[in-house]
Amino acid sequence: MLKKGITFFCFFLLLEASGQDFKKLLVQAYLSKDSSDYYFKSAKRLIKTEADAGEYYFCKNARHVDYGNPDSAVLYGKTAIEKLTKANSTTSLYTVYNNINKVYKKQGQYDKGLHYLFEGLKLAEKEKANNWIRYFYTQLSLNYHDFENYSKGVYYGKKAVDLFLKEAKPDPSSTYSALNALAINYDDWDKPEQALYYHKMVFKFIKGKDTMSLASTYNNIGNTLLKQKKYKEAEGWINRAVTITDLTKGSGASFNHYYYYEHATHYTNLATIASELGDFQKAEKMFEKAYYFAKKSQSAEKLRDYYYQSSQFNKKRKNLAQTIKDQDLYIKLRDSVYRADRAKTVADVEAKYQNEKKEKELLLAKNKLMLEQSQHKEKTNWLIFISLVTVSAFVAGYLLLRQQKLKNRQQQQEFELKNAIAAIETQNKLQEQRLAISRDLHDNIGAQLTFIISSIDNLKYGFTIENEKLKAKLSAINVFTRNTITELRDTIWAMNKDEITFLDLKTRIANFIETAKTASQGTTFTFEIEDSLSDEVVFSSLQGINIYRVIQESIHNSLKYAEASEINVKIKQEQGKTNILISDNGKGFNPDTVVLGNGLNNMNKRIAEVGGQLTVISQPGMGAKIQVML
Amino acid sequence: MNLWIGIGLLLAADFFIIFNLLSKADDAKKKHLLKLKESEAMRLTALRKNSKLVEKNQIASGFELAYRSRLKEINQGMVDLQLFLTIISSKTNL
Repeated sequence: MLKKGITFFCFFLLLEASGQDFKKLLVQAYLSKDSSDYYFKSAKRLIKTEADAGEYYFCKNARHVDYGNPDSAVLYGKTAIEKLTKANSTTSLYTVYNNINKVYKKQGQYDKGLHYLFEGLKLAEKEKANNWIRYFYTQLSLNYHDFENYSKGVYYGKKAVDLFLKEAKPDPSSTYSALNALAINYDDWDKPEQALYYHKMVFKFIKGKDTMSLASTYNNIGNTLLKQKKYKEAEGWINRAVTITDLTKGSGASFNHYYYYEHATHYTNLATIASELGDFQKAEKMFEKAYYFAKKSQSAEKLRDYYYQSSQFNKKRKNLAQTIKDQDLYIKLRDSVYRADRAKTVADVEAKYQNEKKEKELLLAKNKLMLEQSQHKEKTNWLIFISLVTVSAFVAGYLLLRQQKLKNRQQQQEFELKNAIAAIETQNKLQEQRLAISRDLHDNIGAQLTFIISSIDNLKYGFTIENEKLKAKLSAINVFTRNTITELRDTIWAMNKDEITFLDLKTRIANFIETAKTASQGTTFTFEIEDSLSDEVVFSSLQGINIYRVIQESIHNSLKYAEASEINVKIKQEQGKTNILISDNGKGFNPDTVVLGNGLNNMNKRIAEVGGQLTVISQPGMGAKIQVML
Repeated sequence: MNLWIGIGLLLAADFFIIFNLLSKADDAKKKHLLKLKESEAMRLTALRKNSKLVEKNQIASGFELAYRSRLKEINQGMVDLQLFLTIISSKTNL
């Protein structure tokens, strides 16, 4: 398999190298029989990178492995590992690890070989290169077999076989190698049944013409049967192996090595069978051939097996000298293969690999735990994040809702207020219109009344009116009309003012009293105002006119009905209120018995209208007092 | 780490939105109160004007009421005067 791999790799390099001199030269160097050194030298001059250097030393290593130069192969292999590791060129690295193992295995230095196999296995496991993992398991099984540690050989062989059998379509050639490795371990572990089982399993995968490549399997089956003392049957299988090996003999160093190696086994086994069957002549011939091929194969293991069987054969022939000689050589080779310290090293290498593997598993478990923790943490964080988003959305939503409600309420309030203002303004407009109409009416009334007065005056002066009744009537109309005009003027005065100060009111009352004085010569009028009353006191126009009218009406009543000779008007401030007192010394009357006329009733109404209180105090013969508290 | 940055940004955005909403609500409240104050002032002015107009109309009504009763008497006087003038004119042949 490895040979095919290397050839394929070289072919691949060849394809890749079209137009690339360096790779082309390397392929030529590897394949060339005579000019290899020349091509290698030429290629070396073209090395530019670590990867180039790695490939260069890898090809040198492969070349020396094939041509049986173990020291050079190991030296270049180690250099190639260094360079390829730096360049991270894993495919070539696997091959180099395997090549070095191959060299050490051939020399019987299994501890060193195992070291490189485990390195290769670690790399393959790291890179998850399953093909290489299976391959290294197979090689480990073979190494342990050659080192006579069959339990370990079976362990790794089973691992390799299990991996292959898990595949839907396992590669026949690789599966064959794994099955073969497992079977030979069982065989040498004295478990022929299992050995035969796995040997024969090979034929499930490789059938027809392809069985021509199974020389070693035929030999191994023969070997197992030999151990079971089924000599004739064993001889048949081994002879088939010999024929196939001869038929499939190729060219080149690597093919030669395979050929010698296989034949060394075949002829040792055939010699043993002949010896066991008592055909010493045949056995001798077979041993000669076995020795030749074992020597050519340069395999310590094959020589060891040869010397063991040869010593047994010579012992049977009672050739003691040769027996001792073979025994010595066998022991020497066996010890070279299986020395105690080497066994310890092998165990150490294995332990190291297993430790590293366990550490790696521990690390993986730890990483997994950390990953789970991290995922858990991430989940918690996401939960917090989502919770925060939800809470935020709720808060924002609540705030928006509250804002909207507030806005609606505010709009409602503003709307109500605007409506109220609009209603008041509408009312004001109506009042203004009404007032305007009243003013027009008053102007009209004023003009008409003036006309009436002047008409009556004209009548009085133009005609001599002797009819007393008519005269009185005319005078009454005149007085009525004049009073009405006075009232109209007072009304207009009040209407034209937004507010009436006490000073205004005082002046108007004083004017009225002066007029009354002139009209009633026999009556004494007094008008007193307390100093504490400020002129700045303000009344509304209604209050002002009503107060004025009440004073006017009271004086009028005192003159008309009470026949008073003294009338007093006194205004003062009392308990925060304005106190107006109109008194006379007239006839007086009993307020309880006298029916109040329109005048007093009107006075009451007017004062009540502006929120004040009017009191009438009088007794017959004691004058009258009218008190207004406002 | 990125998640925490996300949470931080979200909180910042939240605070900004909430602060903005509260601030807007506060501004709207202030504006509303100012508007209410202005409207109330307008209403009071209108009411004052109204009360004055009502008073004046009351004054006018009071006069008109008194005038109506007096007008009857004046009318009566005028009728008498008319009669007198008729008598005079018939006597003097005016």
